[in-house]
Amino acid sequence: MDVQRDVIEIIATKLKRGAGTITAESKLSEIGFDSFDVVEVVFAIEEKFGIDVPYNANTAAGSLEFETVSQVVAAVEGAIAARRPAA
Amino acid sequence: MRRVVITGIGLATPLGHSVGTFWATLVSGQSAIGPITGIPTAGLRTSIAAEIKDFDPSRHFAPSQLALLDRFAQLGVVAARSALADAGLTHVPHDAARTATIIGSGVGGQITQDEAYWRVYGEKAARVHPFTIPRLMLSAAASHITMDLGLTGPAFAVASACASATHAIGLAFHVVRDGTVERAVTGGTEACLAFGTMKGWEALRVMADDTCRPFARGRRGMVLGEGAAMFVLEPEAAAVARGARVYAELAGFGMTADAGDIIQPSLAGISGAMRAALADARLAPEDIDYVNAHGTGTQANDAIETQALHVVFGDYARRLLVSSTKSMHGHALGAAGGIELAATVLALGAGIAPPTANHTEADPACDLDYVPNVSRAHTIRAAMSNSFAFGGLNAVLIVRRR
Repeated sequence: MDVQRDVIEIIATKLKRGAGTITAESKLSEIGFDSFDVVEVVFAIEEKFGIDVPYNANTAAGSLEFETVSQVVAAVEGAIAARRPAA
Repeated sequence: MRRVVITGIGLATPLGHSVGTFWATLVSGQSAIGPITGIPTAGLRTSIAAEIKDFDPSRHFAPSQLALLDRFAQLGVVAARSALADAGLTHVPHDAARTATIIGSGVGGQITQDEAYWRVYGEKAARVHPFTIPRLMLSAAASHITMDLGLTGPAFAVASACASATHAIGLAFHVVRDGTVERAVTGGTEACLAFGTMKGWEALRVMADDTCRPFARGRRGMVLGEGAAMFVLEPEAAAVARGARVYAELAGFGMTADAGDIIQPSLAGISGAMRAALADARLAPEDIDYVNAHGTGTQANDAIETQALHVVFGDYARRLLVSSTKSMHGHALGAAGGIELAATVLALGAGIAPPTANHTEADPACDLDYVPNVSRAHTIRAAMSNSFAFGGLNAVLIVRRR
């Protein structure tokens, strides 16, 4: 599973951009996200990977937790790892 | 135009079912927000709400009647009966054909809808309850109130999400004021604590998981409530003529649409509604002493409502007492404006501003006097109650002492 490719695909679809225009280093604030784009992308990511992302629009304001695409990818990978029992 | 007064209040709320209990609880600053007990919470991220825990429908309705009544209609009918009794109109003849029934609700029979969908999608049942449709329709509460109280004048439901009750009361106010009717039973009712509805709110990512802390730093969002609040409105002259007890004059109503975002409130829209209400009441900003804020506890609402109060009230804003009683009764959506108008009217009568509970730490973006945690005695000549709905539908009511 290529988490980064899938996350970029989800974001590109939501923002109606070509996936090629978004990289791991892209900043969410610079590729046209508003807060309710985030809510929809979080939903799509949860559905795609079967994980829970504890995102609250009220506490995320000003947070740098998800500044770039690569940080979203890292969080998704972390959540996937946490979901699986240790090998 | 005629002056319109409030002569009856009927309540079914998490803070009590009588005017006295509701007001005493509100003034004490006790919050009804707590762990949800009425529905299973497994699978819910947010498992807190302000529930009505002491409502036994069988005390109020015969079994045959109950089959037709979603909880939102039950609460609405019980509150409407109380309002009429409170106005002293239960056992005296009144012109039922000239009494309007205008009832706000955000969604209608959400519990009925949730149960019906669970049956067909979850349990793969072949059929749902035969009265599913008459129970869930948004106007069911309005219909049952007319049937229960025998009111045959203009009657309908009003929907504007979280401003529904306020729009309903405002419309009722205007039709009494302009002489279309001689009296109105009006308010709002909502029973939204259904599993599917809760999942919907959870998905929007605006719900607090701790409690509702309006205007406070670190607030984490909304907490749902439920309930109903109904009022009897009549011309001042008629109320005086029959020796009715008068709570307050309903003096002004203002409404606007943001025509902007479906979720984010707009400064122009909500300040416009407050100004329109002041103009309708022919009051200056300095005539208002207390504002019952929309104050949902979301980052967006509380900051922009604060800005709008600065815009409308100017330097005087710092002398206003502003509180969000949602911190105690939760956000009852389409009933919220009714429950909050009751709080506003009772505050005016008592000369006490109820507090904003759970206000642990000040937020620099919210720099007014929110009456944190402890109610305050204060002369209240006139007061404003704000309701700003998702979808940018804003409604503001003003009451005045008489």
